[in-house]
Amino acid sequence: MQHTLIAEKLYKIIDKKEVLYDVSLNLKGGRIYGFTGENGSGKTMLFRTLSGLVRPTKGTVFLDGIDIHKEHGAVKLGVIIENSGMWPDLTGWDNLLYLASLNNYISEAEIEYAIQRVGLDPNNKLPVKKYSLGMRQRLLIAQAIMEQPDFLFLDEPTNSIDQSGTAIIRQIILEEAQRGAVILMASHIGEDITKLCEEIYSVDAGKCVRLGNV
Amino acid sequence: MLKLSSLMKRTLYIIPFLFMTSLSEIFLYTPREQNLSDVLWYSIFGRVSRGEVHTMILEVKSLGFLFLFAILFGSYFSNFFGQTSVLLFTRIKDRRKWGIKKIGILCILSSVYTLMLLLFELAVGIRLVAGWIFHQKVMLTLMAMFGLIFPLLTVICVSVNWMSINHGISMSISVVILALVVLQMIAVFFFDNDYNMVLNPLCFNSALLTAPKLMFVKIIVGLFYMAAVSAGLLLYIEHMDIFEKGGAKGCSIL
Repeated sequence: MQHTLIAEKLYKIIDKKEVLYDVSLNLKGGRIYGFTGENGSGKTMLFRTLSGLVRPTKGTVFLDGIDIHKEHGAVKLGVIIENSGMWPDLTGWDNLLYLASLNNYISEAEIEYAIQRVGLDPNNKLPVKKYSLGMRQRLLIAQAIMEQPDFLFLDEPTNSIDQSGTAIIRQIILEEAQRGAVILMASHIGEDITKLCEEIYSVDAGKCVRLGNV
Repeated sequence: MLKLSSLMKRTLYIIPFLFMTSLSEIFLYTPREQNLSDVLWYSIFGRVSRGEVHTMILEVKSLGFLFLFAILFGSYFSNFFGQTSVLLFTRIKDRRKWGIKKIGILCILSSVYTLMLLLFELAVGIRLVAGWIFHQKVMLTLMAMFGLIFPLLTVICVSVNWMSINHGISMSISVVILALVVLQMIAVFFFDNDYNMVLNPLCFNSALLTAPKLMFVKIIVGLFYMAAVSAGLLLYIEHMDIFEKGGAKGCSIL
């Protein structure tokens, strides 16, 4: 079954300001969609709305036919949104273990694999607050992919990651698309968009316009 | 993100607090002939009288243990709504069930805290009573006090937690403390008003001490407040927008 994301006429008003305006999307699994736009254009708010974190003022979001705002968590999501983070006093392992325990989709071996996949050591005893920015970002990627989500929302996924790490993350994103996930990626890094994305959308002042295929 | 066992350990903080506030009773008081039930009531409540009207009002010093509880557990919910909220709430299938579970934990904590309070007061009370014999009336007194204090503690804790989601723990505790002070003032100034005695959680007619039906009504009112605040919080969590706020809260502190 191919996964689908359908957003119908999304509007979001916060403090009388339209942060999303008439956004409609029809996205399919197995593809990587790039979202570009200036800071404050609404990319992150769009991701929050599509992932069910924020309820739209008008409009609906269907993930595999399920209204995500009526049935939170009914589909498997992997999400990285700016400023999201982990519990700083726990190790990377303990953070992922706790998150995995919420739904028990995966085993400890799969958590370990996800951490190794992003180039981190699952046995690292350092608390996350002692991680570098690049390590934290890798850990966020690990939590996003560990449960083999059907939908991935990646906001600046290669942020703060070095060159070798960026290559690893890009490869992971391609593999997730091959697995059939619907992948939405926002990035200011042109190479991320040109190397990974098949379709590009531009977000500006809350409006989302399809620019075309890459 | 503390485990329940760690949270339970925090309830022990009430012991040194109560010890400090009961030093004179523990070390200076000479035991005398008096009713243990009355000793227990008056350890938590004071009495305001005019003519035939006697109103039991939560003692000012007793507000301290309410404040302490709010400080210890008032940020329990807000810990889930910081930077980690995105990772949590994209996974939680049913926010209502999750909220019920968390409020259930707060109820367990407030019941343990109340039990500790009552056991301590019982221990001090036994110290104050000469020729003490344990009888059914003491058990009933303890049960009634539990029924009055437990819902009050839960309402305070849930209210602080609700506010702290968006306004931070300091502001939330300040608002709730202010509300308690206002309720205390209303309890004192209108001590002979029937509505005050029924609806104000900080006071009740002393006739309740000998009228189980009236006591039952008072306890039901307290449980109603508890259910109402909890339901409000659950509805709020179910429909709120989740934004990653501030820094991720450490798992070891308020």
